[in-house]
Formats: sequence, C-alpha cells, structure tokens
Amino acid sequence: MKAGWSARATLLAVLAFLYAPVLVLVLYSFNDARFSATWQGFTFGWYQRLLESPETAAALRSTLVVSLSATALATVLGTLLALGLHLRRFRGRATIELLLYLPVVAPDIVMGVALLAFYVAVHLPLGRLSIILAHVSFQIPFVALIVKARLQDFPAEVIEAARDLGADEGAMIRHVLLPIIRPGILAGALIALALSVDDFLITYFTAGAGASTLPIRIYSMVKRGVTPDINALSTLLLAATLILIVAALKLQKRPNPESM
Amino acid sequence: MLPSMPPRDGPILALNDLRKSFGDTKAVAGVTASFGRGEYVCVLGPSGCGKTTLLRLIAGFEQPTSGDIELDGRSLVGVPPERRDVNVVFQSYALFPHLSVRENVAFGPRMKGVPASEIDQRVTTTLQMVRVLELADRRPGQLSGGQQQRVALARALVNRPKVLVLDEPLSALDRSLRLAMQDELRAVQRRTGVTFIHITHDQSEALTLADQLVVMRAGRFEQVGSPAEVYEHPRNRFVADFLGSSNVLEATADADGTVRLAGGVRLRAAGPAAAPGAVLVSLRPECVRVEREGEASSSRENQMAGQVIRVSNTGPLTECRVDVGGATLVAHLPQRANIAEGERVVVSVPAEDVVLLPADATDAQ
Repeated sequence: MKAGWSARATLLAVLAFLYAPVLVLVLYSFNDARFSATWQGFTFGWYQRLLESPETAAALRSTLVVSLSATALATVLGTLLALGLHLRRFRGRATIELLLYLPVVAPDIVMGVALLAFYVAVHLPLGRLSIILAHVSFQIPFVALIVKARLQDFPAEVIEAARDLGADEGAMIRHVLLPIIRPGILAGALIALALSVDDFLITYFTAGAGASTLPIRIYSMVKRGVTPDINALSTLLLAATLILIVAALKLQKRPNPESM
Repeated sequence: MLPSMPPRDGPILALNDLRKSFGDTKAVAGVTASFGRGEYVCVLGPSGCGKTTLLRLIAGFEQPTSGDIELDGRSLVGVPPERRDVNVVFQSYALFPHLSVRENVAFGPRMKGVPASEIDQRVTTTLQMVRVLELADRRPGQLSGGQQQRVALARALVNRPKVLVLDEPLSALDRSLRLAMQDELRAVQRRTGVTFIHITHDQSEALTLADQLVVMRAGRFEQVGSPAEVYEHPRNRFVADFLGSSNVLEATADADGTVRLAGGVRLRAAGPAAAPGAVLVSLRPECVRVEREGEASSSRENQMAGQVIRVSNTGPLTECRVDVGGATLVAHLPQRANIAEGERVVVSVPAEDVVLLPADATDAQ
C-alpha cells in the first residue's frame, strides 16, 4: 500500500521534531563562528580546542575509567544474576525478577538522591568509587534483563543434552551456555556502557567535588554559556552512544551462533 | 562413569513400581517391567500417556516420586544424568549450535576425560557408522533434519551407553525419510548391541522396530510383549484399538464357549473360552473375509449375512464396511476384490482370529 501525502507529511514532521535539534547541534559544532547562529564556514577548530583543554581531557579520562570499570563489574554480576534466575528454582525468585525492573523504571533523580543518602549513611567518601558503584547499581538490571531474554530463547533440551553427555552444571555453563549466549552478554554490556557514558543525574548526585565525567563537564561549561566547543563535545558523546546502541542492537538480533 | 563390570545375565534395565507425580497429576502411575540386553524396546502411547516422563526418569532429568530404576543391577535413584550410562537422542536433536559436528560428537567423551587420541578415533568411527563423516566440519545449522538426526544418534552412541533412549526420534522427518531412518536405527542397534528404548506414538513404527513392545496409557503399562503377541492378543480394547484399527464389538459369552453379538450372530473363538457374561470381541479388519452371497463356501467358520454399506479404495487395499445386523464390521480386502456397495454378502472370520477381550472394566473411553 502506498502512503498518502498526509501520512508522509506527518512522518516528516515527526522526524523533524525528533532530530532537528540534534542536527542543529551537530552542524554548529562544525561552524566557524564563536557566537553567530549563521553558518560561517566549516571547521574542526572546536574539536581541536576540546583536545587542548585540560579539564575536558580529565573528564574524558574519568568517564573512561568510570564507565569501563562499572560496565565490567555490572556485566559479570548481571550475567550471574540472569543465570541464577534461569537455572534455579527457589523461593522469592518471582519477587527478585520483579525487583529487577525497579531501577529501570525508577526516576533517575530518585536513584541519585537515594544513593547519595546511602553513601552518607555508610560514610563512603564521594569520588570515583562512589560513581562506579552507582553506575553498577543501575546497569545490573539492564544486563540481567537482556541476558535473561537470550536465555529464554535457549532450548532447555540443549542444557539437558549437555548434562546427559556427562557435563556437570559448571561444565555445562562453561562449554555450552556461555558460548551460546555470548552475543547477549555483549549486547548487555554495550547498553550498560552507553547508559554509563551519558548518565548525568545519578553521577551528579554521587560525584562529589573532585570527580567529573563528560556529561558533568558539559553541564558546568553550559553554565558559562553555550559555546561551539560544547556542541562539539555533545556531538562526540552522541556519536559514542549511538555506536554502542547500534552495535548492541545488531548483536541482539543475531539469532544463533551458527550464523556467525 | 561406572567402572566396567563383567557382563551379567540379569536385565539391563528394570523398573520397579516406578511412580512420578507432578502435584495431583500422576504422570507415571506405578510401572514394573524389565528389559534385556540388546533389546529394541518401543514404548507406544498417545500423547500425555506419561511416556516422556518415563524417558526423563530413565535419563535422570526427573527423580521418581517412589519406586526404583535399576541399570545393570544398580539403582539409578539419586544419580544425576551426567553420571548415568544412559544417553538420550532428543526429539529436537538438541545439538550444540556453536560446535561443529565433530565437536558435538566429541563432547561426551571429552566431558568424561577420554584421552584426546582415543576421542578422535571413536568420533570418526561413530560418524562413519551413521554415515555423516563427510559432514564432520559443518555446524548443525547447516544440516538437514535427517542429517541432524544422525549426528544426534552419533553423539549419544559414541559414549557407549548401556541404554540409549530415543524420544520420538523420527517424528520431525517426512515419510520417506522416516521409513529409511527406521531401517537404519534398527541396523545401528543390531551392530552396537546397545539396548534402545524408543518412545513413539506411531503404532506402525513401533510394530516395525520393536523386539519388545510396551503400550502405555495414563501412566501405566497396558501390555508388554513382542509386537506379534500384542497385536494378535491385545489384552483390552485400548490396546486393540491403538494398534491399528480393529472391530471391537460388545458380546455375551455363553456356557458352550461361543459368544453372541448384540445382533444375535453367534461366533466361535479358538482361544480358551471366556467366563459366561459380557465380553468384547476384537476382529482385525484384515481377518474379516467378505464374499458375494452364493459364492461363499459353506465350510467357512463364523458366517454372518450382511449388506455392503460402503467401499473405499485406500491405495494398497480396499476398505469395505458391512452391516451384519446390529453391528458394522470393517474389512480390509485385497485390491482386486470386486464388491459393490449395496450388495448382499457373506462375512466370515476364522475362529483363531476371533479375539476375546474383557468387558470394559479398564476402558475409560
């Protein structure tokens, strides 16, 4: 069926509504003008300036350390959680599964305030460690849910076949389960990494004075006015997130290892 | 893995009042039987009769509620699946998608710590036996259903189990392939001497393959015996019905050893006389003779006059329904039989083909 002109116009309007601001941001990051909103010519200058700024470099380093270590930790814990929920039948399993969704749907601001209050209560100094732990806490459910979805597609008979052929539970997980769900684990890790890299609110509450990640850095720069180097930094952040999400989606769509 | 023991004479597999319940449902409701070394056993029953649960109990995926399973004289109760000398060919084949055919087959021996050089040689021999050696480097996703079936068989047999359990192994294959695989299963079983327990709902498959046939219903063994025994002397209406279509008629046994059908026809049975009272008479369609009135020899036993209601051609034979006054009999006639609908005929059944069954005490249908 061919779409009528009204349907096509609606589609264009929606797309414009969604992407026009982002497009403007990306364009201006290449605009050779300090304040002007008009196009003055193409330049990589703002990106160059970013590289030269010591604060931005520190924030980038901080983001890498926080996101990579948090993601590594959350991937291991989230995968273990999904395996436990899938392979074992125990009391309270349904409740845990339900609780998994809580951090996913809870407002970030609530998570941020709660974590801050908790850190104060247990006397954990705010800094990189507190940010990492905060990120792990909201990443785990995403990893667990994605890995669990992968496990549910996995035929139970394959697990039984491994046991039947002499593998105990550990060997079965090592030789059969993990290799087959690897794409799911990787997808979970990439989503978790994306969430961690661009998280602002929770990081803001748990960062303390010294530590600063890229989103926090952008926020503090904006306070002094929107400049083209902020556009450039935001564009970089956007590109990084986009790449991670697209890679994760590709991995999730991959049906079975035999197509590799 | 159990240490190798000198061969014994006892049964390889014995089930002793084995029961398994899931909540209020009795999936296996007390079965007792034993199976000999090198036997091809078929467990036949409709879906939901508990045959899959029986398989899972033997393989170790379920633990019995009560009763015992003995493999070669040792109880299997409490032994996890990975430590039983039993292997399974799964209905879905359940091959490992991330491993090649060779790695799939090598999985069992590898888990059991067989030395690498021996694994290689055993895998090659087994792949050769089921004729898929040339596919050794493929992934399961690149194989046809029949090929996957062979790989699943090889993956189980390479472990040299004492008992191999096959769960509806041919149900996913199309008809011609299924018939070819039947022959092949039988040949492989003969060559290896492993006891096969083959679960199926297909009666012709079971009759073709089995040395020992188990008919199962509602968690119980209705009858255990050779296919000929079970086919010719079904113990009750369920078995008679399930093993190919049969004419099962209500009748009354008289003191003189004959039975009287509801319509008044009197039949003589060759077997031991039934106690007077209600009985069922089973007549196999292929044992029912139909002849035109006047052409029938008067020496035939158990003659009944009737009228042909319907004649239908079903390929290799002609199915003919005859009204014999109060009952309709189905007869399978050879292709050339030329009998038309509406004709008056004489129906006869040899006395040795008149099988008496107990009246429907055990019949719930």
